[in-house]
Amino acid sequence: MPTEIENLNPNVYSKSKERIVTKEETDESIVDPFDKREIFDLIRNINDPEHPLTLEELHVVQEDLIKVDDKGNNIFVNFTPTIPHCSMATLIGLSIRVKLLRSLPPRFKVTVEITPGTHASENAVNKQLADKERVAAALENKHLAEVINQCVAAKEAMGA
Amino acid sequence: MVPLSQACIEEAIQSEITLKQSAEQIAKDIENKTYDVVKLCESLQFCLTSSSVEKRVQGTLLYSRVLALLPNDHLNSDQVEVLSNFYAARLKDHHNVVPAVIEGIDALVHMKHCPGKCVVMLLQNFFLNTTCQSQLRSDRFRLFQLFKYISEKYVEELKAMSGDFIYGIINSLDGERDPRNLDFIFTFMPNFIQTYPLLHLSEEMFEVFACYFPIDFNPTKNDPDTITRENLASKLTQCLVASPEFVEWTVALALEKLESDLVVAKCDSLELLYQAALKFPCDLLESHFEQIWIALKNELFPGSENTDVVSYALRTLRCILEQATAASKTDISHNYQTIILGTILPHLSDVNHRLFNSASTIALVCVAGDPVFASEKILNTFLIKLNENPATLNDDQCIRIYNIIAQMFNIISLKGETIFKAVNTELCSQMHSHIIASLKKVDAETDSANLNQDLLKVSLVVLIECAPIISEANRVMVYRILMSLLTNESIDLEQTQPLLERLGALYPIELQSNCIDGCIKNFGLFSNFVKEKILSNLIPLVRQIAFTQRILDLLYQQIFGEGVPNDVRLLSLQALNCLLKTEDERFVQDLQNNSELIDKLVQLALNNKELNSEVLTQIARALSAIVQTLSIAEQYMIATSYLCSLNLQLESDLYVAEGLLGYLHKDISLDDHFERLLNDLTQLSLQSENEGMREVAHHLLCSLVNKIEYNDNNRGIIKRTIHKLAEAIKKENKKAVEALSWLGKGLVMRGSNEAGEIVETLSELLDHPSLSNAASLAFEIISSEYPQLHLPQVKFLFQQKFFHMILAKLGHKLEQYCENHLTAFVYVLKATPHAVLKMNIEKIGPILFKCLESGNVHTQGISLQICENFVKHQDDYFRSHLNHLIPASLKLTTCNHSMKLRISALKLLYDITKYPTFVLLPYKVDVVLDLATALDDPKRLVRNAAVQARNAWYMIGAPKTE
Repeated sequence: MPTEIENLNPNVYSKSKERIVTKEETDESIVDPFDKREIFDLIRNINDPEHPLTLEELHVVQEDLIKVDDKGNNIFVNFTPTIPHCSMATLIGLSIRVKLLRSLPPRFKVTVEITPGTHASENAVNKQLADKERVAAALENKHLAEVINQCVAAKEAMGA
Repeated sequence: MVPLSQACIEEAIQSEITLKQSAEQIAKDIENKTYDVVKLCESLQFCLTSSSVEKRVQGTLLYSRVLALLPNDHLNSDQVEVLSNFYAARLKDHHNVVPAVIEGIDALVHMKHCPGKCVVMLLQNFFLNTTCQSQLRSDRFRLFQLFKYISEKYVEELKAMSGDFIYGIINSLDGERDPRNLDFIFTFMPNFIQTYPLLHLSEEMFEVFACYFPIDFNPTKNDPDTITRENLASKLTQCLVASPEFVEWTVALALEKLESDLVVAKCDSLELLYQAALKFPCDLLESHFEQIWIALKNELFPGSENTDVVSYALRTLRCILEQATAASKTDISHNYQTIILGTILPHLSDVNHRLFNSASTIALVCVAGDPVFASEKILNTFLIKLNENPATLNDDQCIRIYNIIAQMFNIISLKGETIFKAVNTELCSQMHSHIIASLKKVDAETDSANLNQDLLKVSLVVLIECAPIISEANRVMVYRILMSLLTNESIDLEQTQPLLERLGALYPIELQSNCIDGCIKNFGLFSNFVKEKILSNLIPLVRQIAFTQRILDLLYQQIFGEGVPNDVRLLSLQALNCLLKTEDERFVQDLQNNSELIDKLVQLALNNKELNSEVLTQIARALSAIVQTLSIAEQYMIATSYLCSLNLQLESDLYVAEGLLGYLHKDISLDDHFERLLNDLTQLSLQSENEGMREVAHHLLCSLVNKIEYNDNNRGIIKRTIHKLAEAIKKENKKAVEALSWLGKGLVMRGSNEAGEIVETLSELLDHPSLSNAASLAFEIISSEYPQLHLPQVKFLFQQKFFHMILAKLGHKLEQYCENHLTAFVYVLKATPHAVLKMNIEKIGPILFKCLESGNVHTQGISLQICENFVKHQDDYFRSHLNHLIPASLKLTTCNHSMKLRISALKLLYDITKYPTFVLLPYKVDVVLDLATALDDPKRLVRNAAVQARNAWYMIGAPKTE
């Protein structure tokens, strides 16, 4: 990780509230489908590699940029780096992927991409994130795995 | 007596023990005037002047010990002077003799008639001929004690020594390393520094202490002296701020160490700055403020990750600002504020900026420092932002700004009324107008789903905080808004109630005419939702005299009035109960005395046939709330006067009886009625089909047998009742089992002998073909806690005793894992304290694992909870049985019939991850794979728990940076 921080003073937005548990959710007989908010809840508390802030607070991930097709087993997540030349983009994308990989049933095909037009090397990053082999290889790298675990683990430390 | 012959003295100085004994004896002899100190000196001459160092040491030691043992007024000043001269000369002797000399000097200066000039002379010779730091630890300690003593007793003489004395002390302290000595030095030196002028030596004195800062000290374990790092650090800090002359160096030192990466160093430095702000006059500190602010800014803006550092830094800043205001140095305070506000104000206008949070925290500290000046600047900034352009300002930003304003006014209100009133009224009025405009959206918006309730709430909070300074014009608007909030059909905000209370206390007449009158007059026209809301908002106002009567009139009208529908009566009674619960006893007694509430309530219940059980329950609750507050005599009078005429088979009478008797004091004798009550209640329980009434009857039964006086007569009645129920059970009556278990509950709690009999009967029933289910439920009844029941007789540790009793009774059956026995037992386990379960874990462990595999959802649920509790405490038994626990819980994560069970199982699996990594690693792969199924659970709540558990398992043994 570079010691120099690239975006020193990013904008910070407030967190959305915890999802309110509805009557339907406590009713045993009703099936709750996967929805945008559920996916958002999975990734919003991932920590930014540079700041002690979550991806949600930096508006890197937003609920509106998630598409869920529960029946078609498809999930699509767009994320927006805070600045167009952010070198952390791949790392953030990787963290999102890993978190979803661990938290979603295997039936889903998950796509993680940069919001179009928000990053200088958008295509290259998207290609890397889409390549299963490269994602797996990245996780084999001990140092990278450390950083990713730290980003993903932050939530557990706070008591989830 | 010790004859002072050479032989005797030779013998005396041979060993430590003989020396001690002889010293004591010689001291006694001198005291008895057998001989005097001069004679002793002469007799000791042979060893004091001996050419052997060893002998001189022993001789001096003996002499010093004798002096120490003499009463401190035994020697006159001449004698002390002679001896001082003698000891001063001895200081020139061999290094080994010096400790004995120090002992002697110590004894001399403690003499009552010791002249100041001798002390000065001794000190001069000491500083000249030897050094403190070349002595042993214990001697140094003696010296420091000596310095402390003389510096407090001979102030004038030592002040006259001026530089020599200070220099000598500095030399003696410099380089001290022993924590025990340092602890002593740090304790007495602040006082010393304040007493003696440090002259040109103040920097040297400061440096003596500065070299220890920040303290780095790790006490060894099992250290008998309780010296801690914190203790040393706080004492050192006091030394560093002991003299105003230190200010320049103190600030420089603190700022230098603040740059360290160590959290401890940072915290110590901030503490030092805080103490400096407290101790040093603010005009001395002013010239350093800019440096201090720059350093503090580094910690606060955007803020370090360590919350301790941030809070220390905020405290320091607050103290500096407050001290300036407290000393009435307006120019200094304004200067400080201008510097700080100049940095933070630009960031306050952008809510989404990363620095907004830290800027607002600092802003609040500024307000605490100088409320009037800072609040004006900050309000101005916020107002510009708020009035800028409504389109760019969303609700979220508004909420965050309002939140800070509310906190700001809260801080100002704590500063007292005069300061509160001095805040710029024009700005406040503008601010209030903006808030009122936000609140007005209630009127404009018809669909409450579009309203941001958080915005409304926080707006109300601001109004609550600054209620005393809302202008009259704005107050009119506030009343209007309150009315529309109170009468709104879909919004109920809890903040309206404290605002009403606040305004009621400040402007009772205005509130009366603008809000309360309207609410009361039109009460009948409102919907039930609004009625309930109005009542809950008005109830807290009852304690304000201006409103008491009006609100009570309304309440009584709605409760006792004729033709009031049941639902309105119900919510009015609920409001009454809320009032009875929150007010103190005196108030409730007054209510009863002034309006005979009990009689009215009883008549209401007995004379109205159309009341439903919900209303009756509320009446009973109100009755028992009032009865509890009365004296024992009054309780007795009221209970017995109504009791005779009550027919418990009628619903209304039963509820009245519950209200009157449920919380009756245990010392009241009900012997005359006990048999009838018990018979009526058991009969009702056995025959009635109305479940609600049966429950009331059971509760009364339980409470009565628990608190009745246990004399032979009552005991006979209870025995007969048990017998009657046992007969009914023989006829396979399930209701009798239930009644018996309630009876048993009351008796088990008080630990009576009959309880054993009942438990015996119930445990036998567990094998019964048709009553076994009811019997296992009976164990739940007995062991569960019912906070609404009044059970005053509680035997000490009854839960433990009950647990052991059941364990003994069911033991052999439990070993065979009989389903009903397991179910019954697990209910008992649920109520047993954790510590008792832990003691018996070897016995109940296998039972718990078996319960996890049972088919009963309750049994599984309770045993999962118990397991979770153990796992949370990192229990060793479960750690060694993870090979059982993990597969059992994994199986439960996919059980179809209860989502609660699945969630608890997943939580348990999550808690298991807290065990050490090496224990868990063998299971990791299996658990992670198996948990994938739970990730696709139809219920979202289960999926959430699964995500949490699975991610935690992934982290086990994964590479992590700390």
